[in-house]
Amino acid sequence: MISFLARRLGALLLLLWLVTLITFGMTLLIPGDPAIAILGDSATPESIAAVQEAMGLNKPPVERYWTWLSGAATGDLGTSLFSSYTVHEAIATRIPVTISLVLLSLVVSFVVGVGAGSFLGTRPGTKLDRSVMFISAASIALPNFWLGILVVTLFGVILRWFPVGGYVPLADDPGEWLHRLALPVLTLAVGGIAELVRQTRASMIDTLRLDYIRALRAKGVPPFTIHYRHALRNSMIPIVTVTGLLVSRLFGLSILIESVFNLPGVGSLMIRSVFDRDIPMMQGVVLVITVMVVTVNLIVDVLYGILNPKAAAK
Amino acid sequence: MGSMRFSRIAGVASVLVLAGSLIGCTAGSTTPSGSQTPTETGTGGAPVASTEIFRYGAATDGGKNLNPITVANQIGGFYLIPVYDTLTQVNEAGEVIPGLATKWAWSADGLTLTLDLRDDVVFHDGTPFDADAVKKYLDKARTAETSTLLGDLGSISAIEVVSDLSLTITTKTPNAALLSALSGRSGMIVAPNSLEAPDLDRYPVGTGPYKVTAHEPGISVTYEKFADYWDHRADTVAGIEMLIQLDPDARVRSALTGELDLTTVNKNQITSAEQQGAEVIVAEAPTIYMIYVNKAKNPAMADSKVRQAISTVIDRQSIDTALMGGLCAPTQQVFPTNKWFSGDVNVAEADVVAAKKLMADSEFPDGFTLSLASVNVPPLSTMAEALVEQLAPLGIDVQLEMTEPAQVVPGFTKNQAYDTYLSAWPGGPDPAMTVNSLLMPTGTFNPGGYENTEISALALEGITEFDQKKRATIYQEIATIASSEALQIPLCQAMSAQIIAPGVSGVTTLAPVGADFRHVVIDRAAK
Repeated sequence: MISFLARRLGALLLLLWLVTLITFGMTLLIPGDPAIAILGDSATPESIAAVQEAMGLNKPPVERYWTWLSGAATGDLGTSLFSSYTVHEAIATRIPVTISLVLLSLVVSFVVGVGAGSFLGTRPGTKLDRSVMFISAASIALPNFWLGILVVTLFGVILRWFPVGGYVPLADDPGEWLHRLALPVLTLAVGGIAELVRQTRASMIDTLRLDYIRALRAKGVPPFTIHYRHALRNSMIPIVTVTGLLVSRLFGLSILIESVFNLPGVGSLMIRSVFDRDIPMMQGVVLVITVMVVTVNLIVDVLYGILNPKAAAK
Repeated sequence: MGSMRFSRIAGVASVLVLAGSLIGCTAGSTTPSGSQTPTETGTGGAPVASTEIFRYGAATDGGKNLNPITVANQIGGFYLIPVYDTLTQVNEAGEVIPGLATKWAWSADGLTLTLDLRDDVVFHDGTPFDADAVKKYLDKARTAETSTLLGDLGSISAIEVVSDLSLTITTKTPNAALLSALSGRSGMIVAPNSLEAPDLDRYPVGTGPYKVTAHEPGISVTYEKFADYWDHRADTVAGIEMLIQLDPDARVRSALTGELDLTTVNKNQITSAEQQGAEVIVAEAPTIYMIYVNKAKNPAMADSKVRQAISTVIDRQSIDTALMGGLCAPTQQVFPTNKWFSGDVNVAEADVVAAKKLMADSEFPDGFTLSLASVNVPPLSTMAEALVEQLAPLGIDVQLEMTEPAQVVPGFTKNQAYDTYLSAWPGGPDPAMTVNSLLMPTGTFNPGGYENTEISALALEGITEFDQKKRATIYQEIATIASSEALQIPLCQAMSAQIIAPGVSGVTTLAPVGADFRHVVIDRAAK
């Protein structure tokens, strides 16, 4: 296990380096001069040159990348081009919002999706099974952005059951934190629930066809024990894999949901950074999101090894 | 109650019917701090201090930088107004009135301005406001390499402190627009001890009625009432929360559900917002939607007959009624109406026949290809698309270049990548600023340096003439020439529309900077 973790950490570091390199390269391709964006209409050649000098924007790209990379390696992600706001502070303020949203959505997706899917896996072909499969297919196809607007209009504006957006930190008021995240989480979790229902159901159906399940039934083991203690555990491997992939998708979709529900997360920070050409902020956000996604994938791999000792031995 | 329930059910049904549409008129929200006890009168009749917090949904995150010297965002002035008093102010007619400077006088040669200052003002850090503080600020603003005020203050050659509350400003050449400039960011005096503070952009220190207590760039700016303000009022709100909500639908949702006290609303959202019970207030604004023209890049745009033909064929009335909800009065002059310097330019109706004749008489009778840049957000994007259709009868093939602000503005002004650029000119406190930016060879929005010598001569006359009536005549003449030559092509003058919560009053506009929330009073009991 230790050598496995060491190999994966090494791969993580290499991946992070590649992502930062690609991101930096892409910032060079974006049209528009950050110095002009900073100075606005009153930019003169002299003031543009002064800003470029102060921000290091006139240095060669390799030097700029190395300066940023060496700072990032020591935890210094730099400062926004437009203010004294440090990238670290910006991300630290916003990351709890995105993590709250993604984590809650993941939990809801997993609990509801796996629960429903394992239940349906024991009743394939029934009316309930067919109905849920139809709904899940439709849910996967629904655009999240549109669904979010529908949800907030219905439950927020018309029924006034929930706030229409905004964020309150968990430490300030746990009840209000949950209340404000309810609609965004519902929106984001719909697709995840649908995917996990389908995956769990299929996996359960396959597992319940195996010989050892027949043996358990012959021994008189109660169906509930067969389904949820034996079959579900052995069905978890593909479920865990899909869940890992779901996390990446949730991070991506959270950008749209943050916009609809006015959540000040890293997704909205990323969008503004691109529009403003705030290069240090862009690079910092990409780095942090990459770390989170890759870490989740690492956890998935570890769980995979725990669930399937044969895979861990390899 | 029964009718409310019915309307909610009807609303649910209509939402389901609308399931096929992408966006309804919905609203977003913020993280409100909540309202508190409204103002009430104490036993002695003296007003009890308000504890209300005013929540504003900001449509721009221009509040990232609250340092008036380096701010580049022209439309984020409302972030600065609560914090910084200005040396002078400008009233609705555009006339200069006292601010921190109570009176002033120009020398006979028009080169030296003497300002007398208020004697009851302190900065938020407790230091006294005096002539030395003003000098330090103006010297910094007119010399710093990253200052965005060099244009306004570039004519200043020296500033001298005469006494604690008096100073003189000497200019290289007479500048009748200087007092107006001091009503904007040029006159927002920063505390001397904070001028070099590294976090001045986040935590400004001025003399205004509110001070910033929390600032999360891109999320919110929180202000608290400054107890030692020279014009302290008990009834105005105890604090202000600027909540940045860039999505227009999210802002309307927040306003509809009572999570915002005030926010701007797009013209195409007004009807729907009112149908859902919102109160929308409409006010005149100096903003003019305009096609800026680079008269050097495309040879056709150097031909005045071509420009006149374009201006003649554009149906401004239909743009107003169909795209702007009737809230953008057609105009053909570069100055807003109802100002002391407003031009007297008639707006002609669209005339395709006359426009075609002008094109026939031009050097491009068969038309040409024209690039038109615009940001990819309404109403500018829809306006640009309308112009494509309106110019087609003249044989002009408009190539739209829709992109984001960070690219389009430098693309037109610095890189000269586009023939024309459709945008909104916010106006200035003095007509000289509009003339300098739009019509002079060095103007930001006159890339290519086209010069109309008559306007240049009039502009020089206008900036050196201190009699307002004579200046008015000069600028009216400039407006007429600019319109007849179609040096820029104004389309319409916009009105601002905002959703306001019940019980909120005192919202005004502080020209030229922006919306002014310093006098907001909230009485939530008033419905």
